[in-house]
Amino acid sequence: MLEVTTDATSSLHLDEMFEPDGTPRPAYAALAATLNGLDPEEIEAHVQAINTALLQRGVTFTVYADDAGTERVFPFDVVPRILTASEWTGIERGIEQRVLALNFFLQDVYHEQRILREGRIPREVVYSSKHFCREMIGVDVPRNAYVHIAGIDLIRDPSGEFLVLEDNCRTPSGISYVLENRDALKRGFPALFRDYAVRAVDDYPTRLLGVLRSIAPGGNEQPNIVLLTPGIYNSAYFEHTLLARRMGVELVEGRDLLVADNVVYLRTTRGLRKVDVIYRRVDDDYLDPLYFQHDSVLGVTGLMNAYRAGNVNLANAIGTGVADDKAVYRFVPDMIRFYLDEEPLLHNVPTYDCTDPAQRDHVLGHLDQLVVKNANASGGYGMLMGPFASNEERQAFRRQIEASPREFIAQPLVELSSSPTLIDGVLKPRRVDLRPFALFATKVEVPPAALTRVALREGSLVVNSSQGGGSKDTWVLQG
Amino acid sequence: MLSRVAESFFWLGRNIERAEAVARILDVNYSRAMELSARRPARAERLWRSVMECAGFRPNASIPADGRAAIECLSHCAFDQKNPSSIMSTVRIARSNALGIRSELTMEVWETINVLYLYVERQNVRGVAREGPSKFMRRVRDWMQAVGGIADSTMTHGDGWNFLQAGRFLERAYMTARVLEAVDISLEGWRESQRLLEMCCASVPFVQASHRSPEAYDAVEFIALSPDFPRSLRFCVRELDTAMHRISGNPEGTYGSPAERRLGRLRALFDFTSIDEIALPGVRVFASNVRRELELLSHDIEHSYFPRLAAAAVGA
Amino acid sequence: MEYTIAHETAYSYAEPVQESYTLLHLRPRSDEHQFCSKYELRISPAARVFAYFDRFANEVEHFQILRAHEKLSITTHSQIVTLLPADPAPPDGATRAILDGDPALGEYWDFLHESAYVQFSPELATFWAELEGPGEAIGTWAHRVSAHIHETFAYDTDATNVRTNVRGALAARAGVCQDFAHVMIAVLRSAGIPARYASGYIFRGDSTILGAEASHAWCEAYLPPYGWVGFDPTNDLLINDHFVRIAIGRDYGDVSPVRGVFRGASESEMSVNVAMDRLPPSQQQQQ
Repeated sequence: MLEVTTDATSSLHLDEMFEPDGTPRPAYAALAATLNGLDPEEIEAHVQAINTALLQRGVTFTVYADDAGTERVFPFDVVPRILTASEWTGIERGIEQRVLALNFFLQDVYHEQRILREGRIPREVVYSSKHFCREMIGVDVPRNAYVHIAGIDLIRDPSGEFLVLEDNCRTPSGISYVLENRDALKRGFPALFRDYAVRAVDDYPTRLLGVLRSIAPGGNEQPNIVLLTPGIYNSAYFEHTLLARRMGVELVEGRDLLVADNVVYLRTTRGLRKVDVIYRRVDDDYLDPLYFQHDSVLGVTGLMNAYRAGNVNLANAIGTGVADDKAVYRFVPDMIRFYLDEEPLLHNVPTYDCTDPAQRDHVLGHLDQLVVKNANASGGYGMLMGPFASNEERQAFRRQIEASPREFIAQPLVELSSSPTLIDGVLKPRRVDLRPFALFATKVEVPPAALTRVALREGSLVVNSSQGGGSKDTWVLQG
Repeated sequence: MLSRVAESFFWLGRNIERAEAVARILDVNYSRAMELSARRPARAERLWRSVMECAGFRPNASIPADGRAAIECLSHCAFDQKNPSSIMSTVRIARSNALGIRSELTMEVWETINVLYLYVERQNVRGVAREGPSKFMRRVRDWMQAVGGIADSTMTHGDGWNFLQAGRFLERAYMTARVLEAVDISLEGWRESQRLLEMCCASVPFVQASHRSPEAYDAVEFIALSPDFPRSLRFCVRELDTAMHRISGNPEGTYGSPAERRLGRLRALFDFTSIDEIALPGVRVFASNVRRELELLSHDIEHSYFPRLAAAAVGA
Repeated sequence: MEYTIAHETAYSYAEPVQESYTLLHLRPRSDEHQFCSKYELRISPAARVFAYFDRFANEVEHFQILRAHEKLSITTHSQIVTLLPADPAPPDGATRAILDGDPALGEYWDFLHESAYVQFSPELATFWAELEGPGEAIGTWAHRVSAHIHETFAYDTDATNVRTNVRGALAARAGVCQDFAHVMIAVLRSAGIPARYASGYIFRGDSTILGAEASHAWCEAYLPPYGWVGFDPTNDLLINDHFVRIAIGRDYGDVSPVRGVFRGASESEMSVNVAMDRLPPSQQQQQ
């Protein structure tokens, strides 16, 4: 019998499944009962089989730090993470508000710059952002929609409140795991679903396709849509293939595309075919060697001209990275107030600005208590977990912060919530986050398809796939 | 269809066939070598030399006559990453081709290739030699044959499948030509003919078709000119021609591209030639001419359907 | 003054180029300094030309050639009336106080910070030691900076190339108009005075003015109440009716006359020819 209990007495963090007194929370009661009846060895064997099947099917991501990129499975955990209908509604409203504000912000900084002129965000913060794309100044994009696909990372603090840890407005990934995890759990452990009405996730590709169709230039109702991938060596290549297949659109590389007279074409065996919308999973820097990285072979020469001329639309727009710069993050609540005249529904984690001398001194004096992040990195790279770091690591960050303060922000360590996770046949509390995805064309939608990442190492607070994280199926319950 | 995707299908087809053929040829000859005693060093050397030639490897030094020949051959033909025709290279290339068109492949085709790739990546010369190479060779052969069958039964028979077919049958003809080129049937009579048939998976089909043991040119005739045997040059060229015409939409018997014209000539050659005309210049000369024609044909196909572009350079 | 300008840029490649994409900053601006009354662009091999205005209001033209070619030539013919005085008054009334109180200052962030060619390097700090501080009269001081660069830098076409940045120019203490302009921009920006790069032409007349063989470049400083004031450190001149402006930007990188990406050849040779003539007054009156 699998022992479904918690060691809750000593924990400072919230346990997603159990009340502080050790009884399961109402939404988890039935799940706990079902799990209780399962044989741990059988579960373990099943999970192994699922992970092997994932490897064989190539449901993998590439880790760059290893020699020349190794393919790995993002380990799958059998215990789902449950969000009640009312919890989800709160998240949904908060993300709708946030993504709308981020889009207004992008439209503004690339046009009138009201928020800068009125001093609500220092111009310095925006102009010094690596991803502030000056080529986009004055360029109009269809429907003024910049971030068509966003991934907003949430964590849950000890009080149970969801906080925004970071915004991902460039090419957020992870939806493929949401789809795969649900399939795997339904096939491998149908019993778990017995007492639940879980909202389906498998219409995400259709909804994404709907967004891509609706942003075609000139309102074209039969647009030719392609998904642009950097290629088979990209860490999210599997996801690109999955989305292309499920949406029924062509998966292309830069060398498959050609720009002639400001129009983008596909090179096919029957000549050239016009392209209207590109869901691109290639970073801004590599999109067009004429304007950005001159030696890029991943992009399409002349794409920026076609885009500026309005003959092709890109999702996401070029230059959206300025909105998810970690130094801009702390101004998102101000954006919500400025553009929407509303109070933020989801709060930020308090953040120190290392360019401010007083705050920087505080950060440098408390490196052993803070989390320091590189302002423009993602995936858990370039990060210092102060309380767990060695003295050498802290000194290395001290030197980097002193040399380039704009590159770093610091946050207090948030004790993120945990969820019981199967480790060597035993359920152990492991920390989790939550990445819901938002889609935007005319209004923001938040499909009930969110990714829960789990830090598999004991005591670890870093959930990124590249840093030893795994994932869980995430159940949004019907209301 | 995207030119790059078409190209990947074509090369996927070629690499599937090549991996399968190399595995099959190695397996057949391992089993023959076991019966060859150390007292026949010249025959053993000829055998291994021909195997390496089939697998695209030209040994120039003399091949050691003792047991090391088998290991050497295994490491060159199965695991040498510098030899693009080795099993490891072809499986890797096939998998990388498949990865690049993953959204166009059925899950079944992709998964079969990926599982074989994961298997081959875990093998090495020592381990394979220890447990007897046959298990490894047969697994590669069987899985690659399975890929073809799974592709036929799960994929839409559109442009992608046709390019895959074109690659498969071009490579199959090419490997058959190589085998014909590497084997000297004049030397050992029926024994060599039998080896030739086995290397082409043809021994049982031959017996079924002719009800006798092969005389020297019978085997060659079967392998070159049989209209029904799926590895004969004639059969492969016909399938290839059909695939190319399905892609272009031109009626068979006409041509709209240099590739189709060359194919038409080749097809006529096999449809209207006899074994005597092959024997006259010698099997080796005939096979090597066919191989060269197939190489030119591959260039024609690439040029028509997937012209390659040099990497971008940047000017000031 | 009214001028006609012919500007030809020609490339020849070692091997045929299969595809080329080219961006041009060649069309003279029409603004408060000048009026471009005629402009013609010819491309060989023939290509369809598209254009847009960039964020500095420069008109950028671009085209692609998708068939093999071994040569490419780009020729412009323009006719421009310049509206600046022949002998502009120096901006001696510009002060730090007026600049600090200027509401537009915040919008010139890009012209106050480092850019691709303009770094605030240790070499720049060393160079600063040769200058007396700007003080209050920043207009007068900017003029002195221009004169100092003119005096202490050698005009030498072999000392630098188009990729040389401010560090390289300071190390060489020599260069061409592009380098002189970049150095002055770096000095002004590091003194908190917005400065930008201008590319264009200068009329040689009868005197020996450097840079007229090809395109010219200079520095513009934001000096309220005058607005943007042009200084030519290569010739120690204030911008006058002998100057024709094509484009403005942060530095050379924003306004390079011809920029492109091509596939095929690895090596190319480039030649540039500029001819600038003043129209006789009789012809001017007919316009």
